[in-house]
Amino acid sequence: MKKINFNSRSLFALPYVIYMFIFVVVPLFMLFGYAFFGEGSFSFAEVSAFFTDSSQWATIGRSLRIALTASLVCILIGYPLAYTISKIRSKTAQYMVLMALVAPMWINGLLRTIALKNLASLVGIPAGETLLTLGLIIDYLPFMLMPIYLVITGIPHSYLEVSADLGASPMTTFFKVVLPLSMSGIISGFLMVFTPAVSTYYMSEYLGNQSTFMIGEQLNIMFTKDNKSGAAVIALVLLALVGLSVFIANRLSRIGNNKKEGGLV
Amino acid sequence: MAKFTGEKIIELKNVVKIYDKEKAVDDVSLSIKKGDFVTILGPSGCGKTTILRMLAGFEQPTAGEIYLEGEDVTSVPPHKRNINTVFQKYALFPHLNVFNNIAYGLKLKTVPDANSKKGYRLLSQQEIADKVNRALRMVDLEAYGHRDIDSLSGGQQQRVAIARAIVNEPKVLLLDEPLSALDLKMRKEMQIELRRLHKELGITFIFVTHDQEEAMTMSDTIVVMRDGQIQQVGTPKKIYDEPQNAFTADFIGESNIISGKMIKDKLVEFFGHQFPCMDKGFEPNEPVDILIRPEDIKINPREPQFEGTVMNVVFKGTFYDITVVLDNYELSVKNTKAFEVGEKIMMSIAPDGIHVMPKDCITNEYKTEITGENTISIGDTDFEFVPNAGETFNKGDRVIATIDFDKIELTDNEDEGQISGNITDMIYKGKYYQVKIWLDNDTALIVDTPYDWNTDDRVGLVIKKEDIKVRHDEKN
Repeated sequence: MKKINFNSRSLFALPYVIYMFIFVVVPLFMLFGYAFFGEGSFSFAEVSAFFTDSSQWATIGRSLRIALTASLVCILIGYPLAYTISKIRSKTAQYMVLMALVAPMWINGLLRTIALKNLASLVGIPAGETLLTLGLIIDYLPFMLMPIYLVITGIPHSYLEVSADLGASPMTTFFKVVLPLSMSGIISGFLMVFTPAVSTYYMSEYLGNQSTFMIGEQLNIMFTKDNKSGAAVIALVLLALVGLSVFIANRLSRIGNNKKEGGLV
Repeated sequence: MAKFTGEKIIELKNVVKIYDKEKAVDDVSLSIKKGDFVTILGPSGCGKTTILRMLAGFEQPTAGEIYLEGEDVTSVPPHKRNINTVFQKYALFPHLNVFNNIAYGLKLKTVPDANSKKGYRLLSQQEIADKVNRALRMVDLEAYGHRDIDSLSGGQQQRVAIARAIVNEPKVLLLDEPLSALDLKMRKEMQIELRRLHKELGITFIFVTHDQEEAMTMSDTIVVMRDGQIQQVGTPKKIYDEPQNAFTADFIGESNIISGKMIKDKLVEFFGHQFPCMDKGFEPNEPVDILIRPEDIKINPREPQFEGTVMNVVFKGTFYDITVVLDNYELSVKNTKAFEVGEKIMMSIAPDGIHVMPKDCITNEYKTEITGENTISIGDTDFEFVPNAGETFNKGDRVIATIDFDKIELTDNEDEGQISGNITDMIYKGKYYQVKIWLDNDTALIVDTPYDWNTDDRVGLVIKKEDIKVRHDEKN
């Protein structure tokens, strides 16, 4: 084994390594501990209880569906929006528009959610999947907007000129150059929206109803019942879901970029 | 391929381009022969890249027209022009491999097809592959089709950029300083490569560079530009041998530029001596600039004309670079023999080694207005002047202020000057430096100074009130 050289620059990473150990590695072991050693000795009881319960599967499926819908709609709104903003002539005007779109995030998330619920009841939208999805879209749109905007503005103007020079109309240039090169922004935007949306708790609590029961709420119930083992299993399932979506997104961004390296998260 | 000399492929007619009130290109007219290798040469900011971008269609001229094969293409967008560009920083698409970068233009191209309902069709996969592979062979990258762009060296990327442009068989290939990012050895190789490609393809090449040596070695025709205007158009030899003015002479090759005056036809005076020359057609005693190439000065000839003292000798491999001093003038001389520092030598210049050029201007003629009692504005600052007896000026009058080049003093510290500006051009005139200074309100003054400044230096300017001569601007 190679001896650790304490004179090297890697020493600077030490605080981070300690931090990671205490706040990532240890809790992860605790999760596994609660999930598999809940009753003192190793058992699959909690895990199998979770997975044999069809209502849990339904909850997972529902969470995935709602989060996926919200993320896709965010892409459909966010991309054209980011593209349009990036085409504004003055940089200052670009920042002003971005600021206006991001400013609501300065308000506490819970307050925003409650406000939205009140607004919705004023115009007659009942709590349920539609309102919940709408809430997620409104709340997380800036997370989609920013990475896409940054990637689009980072595309050198010369690429667009080369494309035109080689005979491509502005439309062709968009589909053959701009879109493929902004794929990484779409992917990271997707992850930034999908990840919190799939595990959201207060949003589904305030904006949803019984038929939109999501996995985050399930987790909350486990905690209020002081069922640490059950909560740990759900936490692990959520972790797996997020891990899987990151993995898929990274694969997608690799295809989009036709390159060996890829992945942003 | 045969060269069709004499046929015009590109014509610019009185093209003007203004950015933010500044004239980047100032009334340029130029025609380019089909099959020529034309280089547009000039310092940065002279408008050469702007011309190229207007030819490609990325910029619209503010005024004037551009013709491609006799057809007005002034407002045709870039994707509809049969012209391709090799960009300075290559701009290869990072999401495509080498093959697909080169195939980009081909995949968009349509060819006439009688069997199709539309009358045209796209190229087939096989046709594209054949063309791309032929282009790859041309730039010596046959085995690189599948490679990623970022796995290539700078020189290889450059070749891909060239292949991507020529594969479309454009009528004109534009090259925007394509070699500036390469190291010297690579650059020399690519110069030869580009010459070869030009011969093989028979396409018109328009090459933009600030490197005069590159321009000299590669081009059939050189267009020298400065401040948005064409200074001279000609073959490399003609431009070297017969530069039209001090700027061109200084920009092309090494040179001595000396102020003198034309006594009469074929006789010019400088260094306090009179020299026979070949030039004529100047006014008697007209002040002129004289260009003498370092290799045209003979040392210790049979019929000596003037004397100097050797100040410095540098061996350059095949010759010696000798600096000679005579009454405050510094002269650069090339000779195959070495001389001792401090040695007195005799020199002569054959009449065909002396090139007389008219001076751009002999004094600053600054157009401005009266701002108060005996004050005018220069670069947004008020300057006092001493009016000629009997002449009256009122506030707001349009006037021309005349200030001699050597009556303006430059200071290192811009706060010590009455106004400040940036040095944009500098020519050594044997005894002093002539610099052009752009003031902050985008007007310029020319100054003769004994000190060696750098271009882009920020300097302060001091002008004494008695050195400012003011007269009414009759045109206004």
